[in-house]
Amino acid sequence: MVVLERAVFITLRAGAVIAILLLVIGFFIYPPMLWAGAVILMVTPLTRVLIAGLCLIARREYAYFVMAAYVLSILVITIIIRL
Amino acid sequence: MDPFTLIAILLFGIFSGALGAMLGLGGGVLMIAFFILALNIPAHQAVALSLLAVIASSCVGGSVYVKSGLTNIRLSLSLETFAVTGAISGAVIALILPTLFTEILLGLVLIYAAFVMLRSPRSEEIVTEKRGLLVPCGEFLDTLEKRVVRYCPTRMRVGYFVSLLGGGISGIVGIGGGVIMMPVLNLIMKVPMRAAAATSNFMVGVTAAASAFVYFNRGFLELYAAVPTVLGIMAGAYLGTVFLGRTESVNLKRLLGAVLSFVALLLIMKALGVISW
Repeated sequence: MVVLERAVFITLRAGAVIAILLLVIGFFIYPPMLWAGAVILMVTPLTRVLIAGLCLIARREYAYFVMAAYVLSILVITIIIRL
Repeated sequence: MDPFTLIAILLFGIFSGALGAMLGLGGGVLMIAFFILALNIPAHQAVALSLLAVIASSCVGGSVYVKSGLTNIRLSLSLETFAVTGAISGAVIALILPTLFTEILLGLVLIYAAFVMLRSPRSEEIVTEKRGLLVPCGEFLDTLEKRVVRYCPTRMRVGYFVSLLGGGISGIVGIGGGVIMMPVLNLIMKVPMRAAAATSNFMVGVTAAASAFVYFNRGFLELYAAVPTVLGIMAGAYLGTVFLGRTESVNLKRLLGAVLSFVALLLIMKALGVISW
């Protein structure tokens, strides 16, 4: 795996593992953790766009960096407007 | 919710997650149908749970596919650019165009895509030469045929245009983009079935996340039901990634054709008022 793939893999795997741990803790032990688990899960795909964008700019793939930045900004703006 | 319902959600989540990760659909539309038709969960809660399910499927399936080299990250970014633009336009168009019209139209398009998938030849047409600028070619190890498959997506402009439309339609109809992106990637852009499923699965998490926040903020997410949903989907998605490597492309296409037909039927039933979400 090259840096981009490795970084995206780690982001997705870490997000999934942390989210599921928090959800299980919330379900069986401490209910407020349910909220944290759901938020971590929802943030993970946006984080992977951010991480991919950073890796792409480090690789000087500016066209793809612009795409990642555009996707991320549109999503963030949409979320802020619709919340 | 009683324990039996939670176990039922977990088990259906495994099934839906496996199918979703294998076919690049995320599994959200199957979960919505299950929540509404089998469990009578209110529509907004069902959509909120299914969006979380799609994100979970995308994270687990996506991580496995990225590690194995099946996901084309650059292609996904190219198409996401147009899909998110379409989704915003869709929100505006939804105010003008009746949803009923869009749902029936999408239902008919999916029936056509299912028909093409079911009738497609056994061998895939793979293009290996780069045609144009910013064509993100990819390669992956086909574990079934034990060879490296190299491909370059074709008809990028058509792919962009359909992604734009697909983003808009999925926004209007309220389903994830997987059912639209899979036919686009495989039938139009000639991306091999496995790479198309992996790339589509990777993409759907982003669009689902944008909508999930809204449902979450409005209190539609039933957190106790979210636990078996996410656990089931994640386990299923992992199984789906294993099945994908062991299933022939032609069988994947047939399965996708069957699922697309089912989704089309659901959409037409929804448009006619037989079911609602």
